Amino acid sequence: MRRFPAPFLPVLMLGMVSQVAQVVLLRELLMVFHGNELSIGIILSAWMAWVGVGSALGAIVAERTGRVLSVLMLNAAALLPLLAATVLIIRGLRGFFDVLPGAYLSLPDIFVSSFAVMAPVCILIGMQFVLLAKLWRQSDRAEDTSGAGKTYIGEAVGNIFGGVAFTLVMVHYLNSFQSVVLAGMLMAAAVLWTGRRVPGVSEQARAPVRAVLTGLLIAGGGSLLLLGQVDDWAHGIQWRHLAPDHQLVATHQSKYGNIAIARRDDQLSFFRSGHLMFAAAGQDTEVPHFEEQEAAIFAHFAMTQHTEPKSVLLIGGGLRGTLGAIIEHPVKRVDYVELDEVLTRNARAHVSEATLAALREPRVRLVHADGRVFVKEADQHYDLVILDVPDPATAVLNRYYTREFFEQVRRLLNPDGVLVIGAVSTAGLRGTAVANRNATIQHTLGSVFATVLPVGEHFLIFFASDAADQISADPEELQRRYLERGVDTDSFSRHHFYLLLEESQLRRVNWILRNHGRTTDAHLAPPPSAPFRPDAVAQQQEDEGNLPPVNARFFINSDFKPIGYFYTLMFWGDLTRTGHAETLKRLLHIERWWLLPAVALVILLSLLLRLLGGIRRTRPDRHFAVIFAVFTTGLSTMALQIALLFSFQSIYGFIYEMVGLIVAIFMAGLAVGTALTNRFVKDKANTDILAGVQLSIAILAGLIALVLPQSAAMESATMVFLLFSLLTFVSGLLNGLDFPLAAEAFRSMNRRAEKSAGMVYGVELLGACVGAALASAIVAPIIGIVACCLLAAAVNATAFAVLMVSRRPHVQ
Amino acid sequence: MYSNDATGRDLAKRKLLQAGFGGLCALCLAGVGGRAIRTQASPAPRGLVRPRPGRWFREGPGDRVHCDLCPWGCTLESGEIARCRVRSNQGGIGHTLAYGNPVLVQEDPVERLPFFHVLPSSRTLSVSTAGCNLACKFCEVWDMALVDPHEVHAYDMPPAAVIDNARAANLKSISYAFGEPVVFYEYMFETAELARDAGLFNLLHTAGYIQPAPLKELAARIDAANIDLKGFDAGFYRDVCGGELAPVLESLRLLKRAGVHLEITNILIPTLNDDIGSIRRMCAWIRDELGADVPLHFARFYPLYRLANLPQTPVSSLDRARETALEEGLRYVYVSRVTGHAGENTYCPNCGEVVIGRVGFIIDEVNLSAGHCSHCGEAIPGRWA
Repeated sequence: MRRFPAPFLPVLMLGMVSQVAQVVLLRELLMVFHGNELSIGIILSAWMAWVGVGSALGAIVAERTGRVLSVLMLNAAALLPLLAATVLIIRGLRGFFDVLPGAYLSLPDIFVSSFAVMAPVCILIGMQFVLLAKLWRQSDRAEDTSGAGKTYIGEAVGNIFGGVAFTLVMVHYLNSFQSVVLAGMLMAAAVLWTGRRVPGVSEQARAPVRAVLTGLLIAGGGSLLLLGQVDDWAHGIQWRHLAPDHQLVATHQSKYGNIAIARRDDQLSFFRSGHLMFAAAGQDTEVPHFEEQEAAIFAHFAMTQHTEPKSVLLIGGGLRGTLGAIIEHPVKRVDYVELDEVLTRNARAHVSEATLAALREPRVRLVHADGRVFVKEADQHYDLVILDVPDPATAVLNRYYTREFFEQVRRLLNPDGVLVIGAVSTAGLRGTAVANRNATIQHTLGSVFATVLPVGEHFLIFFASDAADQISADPEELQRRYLERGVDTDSFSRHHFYLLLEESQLRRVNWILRNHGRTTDAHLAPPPSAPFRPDAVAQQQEDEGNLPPVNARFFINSDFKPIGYFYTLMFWGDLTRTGHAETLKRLLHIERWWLLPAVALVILLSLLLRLLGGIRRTRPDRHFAVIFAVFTTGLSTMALQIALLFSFQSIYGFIYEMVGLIVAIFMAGLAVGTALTNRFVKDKANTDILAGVQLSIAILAGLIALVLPQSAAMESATMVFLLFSLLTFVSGLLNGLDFPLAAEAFRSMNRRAEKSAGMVYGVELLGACVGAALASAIVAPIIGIVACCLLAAAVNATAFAVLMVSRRPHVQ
Repeated sequence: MYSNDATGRDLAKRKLLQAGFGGLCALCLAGVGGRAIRTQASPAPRGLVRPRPGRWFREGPGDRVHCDLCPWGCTLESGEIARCRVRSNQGGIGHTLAYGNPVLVQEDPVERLPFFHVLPSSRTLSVSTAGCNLACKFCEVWDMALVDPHEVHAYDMPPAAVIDNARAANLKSISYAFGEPVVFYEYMFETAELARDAGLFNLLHTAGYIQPAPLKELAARIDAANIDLKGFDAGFYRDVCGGELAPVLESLRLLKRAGVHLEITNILIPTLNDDIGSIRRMCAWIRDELGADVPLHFARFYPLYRLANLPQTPVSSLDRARETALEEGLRYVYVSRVTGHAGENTYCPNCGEVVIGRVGFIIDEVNLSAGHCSHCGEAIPGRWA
């Protein structure tokens, strides 16, 4: 039985710290950036970029010093307080920007702050990877990069532990400061322990360094209790900037983010990850029915769009007043689906009497579940399905606006049932982004239901049904239905129908949404203005059959082409006025075939380099080939992960722990792949094997591209989960095979172990960084999820080709 | 399932054609793509900008031009465009880019503007072009006003056509509203003159960020004006609206002196301009400088534009603001955007009865005869006919 290698423990801890720090910092930054998905891409890019820089730095340091352990100890000593300091800085971050409370930060601001904040911690973590690799190599007394390979595996395993520990344990019992300090302490302890255990390196570390680290460890332990107060104080600072003059009533950690409840006078606002979800009346609100009027109007309007709704499904939003209003109608059954149990549980103490009474009603059944999962698995039928969900600003939220979801809802509806969904809009629907986004919702609904009616100004409500006699734009008719039911409420009256259905606004909105999106480049320009006196809605509906067909590619939102979320990103860009909406608009021009010239260019470059090398007797083409292979592996793995994650979320439903598990499975595959290479491949520097791996990734990506759309048809949820786990494991495995091969191949060209490892690690991270941004912000929403897989396939196939170009017999 | 491949190929062909035949083909194809149904007002393709020599410019040394329309007082070199996006210097002569090309042309109930003391229950034709000389972070029409006029679709509607359309639809008034009428001064001015001749009312809704001289000339042709007094703190005006408070106050005084019927709108934004002390000072100023009879509307803020993460105004804040205004002696104080709120009604300051009952822009009951309260005969100020 082999002795347990001593460096394994600090490597494991490195993985843990790395994962915990990443999750904590990500959650904290999301609070500042209001949970926007584009910011997630930027934050992860910043993380990966700086860790890459750190590893490059670590490579240089590892080269120059013999006292690896000493440097490691200093590193761990610096990391511990820096982690806590970084969390503190993030809490105060909005104070640095001259930005109004409630305003979104602009993209450059997000960029700059993410990169500035992540730098210290990530650089240290990146350095640690390379230093530990050298330590391992020293303790093995090896000359190759197997140390790096082992560190890679160990770190991956540590990542899994860290991710699982955080999701299942830390998030429930510890605050952010405590989590990172604890992780930092474990790291420090592991490094100290290694100092004693590893033969041949312990004399490297000087006593003062040891003492400092030990001291910090003890200080960290002592402060764990104090950190509770630090957290409260830091939250106070943050909230002063996010919502000044609001009293922070409570914060709670949930799986989906940080829930905060703030109060101003007699109004309560609920935030998730710093993003305003809704404002509601509390128990002491002077006029609760007016306070929650927006929600009530939405609910009453929806309820009257069905002549006699007996069974209603409400997804989301109930706590803001919608549920209370629905119950005032003579319904028999209301199923209210809310995602976050932590939210519901903690909101009960604060929401209005009307909402509390509604939650207690025997007619109301509260279900804590993901809306899509519920819809997929439900077996009852409903007269009315009301989707009170936020705008599709993220891929996760976009799932409620896709054709596939509407089809699932349609199956749940009775034959004369009605679906109701809303989205933010502008009075004139003039901007390209908002018009595209809302026309997409209109047309996507239209592709599933026989009748669709949009109504509204700053907020559009869409009604969809297959029945001809349910949805009505006639205020008289709706008023009659409303009065018949004898609803007695203060927040709504029969007059509201006339307000909501004011003719000129109604006709204009209908005209724009029905006519926009019917030409090949409709998505590239603002919609045409409606004629000054458009036809009545009934006439427009009749005439719609004569209009040209909808441009499905850009105006139908689907799980596999989530263009709705891209347009919402553009809309957000318009709101923050940074010009990045312009960039996104330009991106809409991207075509699939643009990849071909890029590929051709790369191959041409490698051929050129080979020629050059031939003349000068060097091997630039081989350098390029190996580096490019690593870059593309990073890129394609992220692209595939994004594709798998998006698809998984749509089909299986967004279940946070599952996603964490999927990432863990990927890491496991990674670890196994690296271990396999270390164990079984003798001649790692042989680029033929590396080329083989590239080709395998390309083939896998192609397979995934074929399989993904089919998986939507799979009935069994378990089968879907198993399939995705398998695909994720294999993609992790192939990625894992890649790293040691590339590191060795690189080292064989310049003979420096840590430099090679650091360089390869850094380039892979860079590729991953680019892949994440590219896939989640551009390729997936505009061209489609299958295209992400094809992108991965294409880049790896190119890497294979480039490696082949640089191939020579008897390499060395 | 989707017809992507077909459209993809079509698009490639189109691009090839465009590249081959150049700009001319592109224009034709763009025209084919964007044609709307023809009615009296034909919506034109994007960028219907026809520069026209404008007023309130002063020629400077050389080719330079100074704009004197609003307090910004932009100095423009040849070819430069002013801050509001719709006034420019072309060859040493000041031009306006906002003439006859309204981006917004729509019919509205007059209560929506909001005018509560003008022609109740009537409908108005609203016009507005692109451009604005402020940059409020809570702008509701940002996709129309805070954009380049070349980037938005506009209607081709010279002043005479505006009047024709209003007449054809049997409307009693023309409104220069929703955008910022100050920036399309020339268009507004000429349309207002034609409207007067045709017996139509001229209603104005503006932020009032304009110089006294142009406003004075305009005022003679305006029947009623609603001014957005966005706050009463100079810092707020600078930070949140991108402008200055003092010129707006001056505009209010001027309109009052000119005998224009005045109403004031104030959007109450939580944490930014809802300080009760500031509101009290504002109400006192209105009472002293403009008179206690000027109707004041406190509007509820809903999260939007750059303040999309700020919660809506608590209704209790609106109630407190209204109470404060009434305490300071203002007689007609409204709460708007809370449909069904008692503050939407006009109450007789003498007997306290409802003179006009409203829910949103819908008139529920009218107890007004010839501009007097039906209950007690008190004169209620306004343009009732």
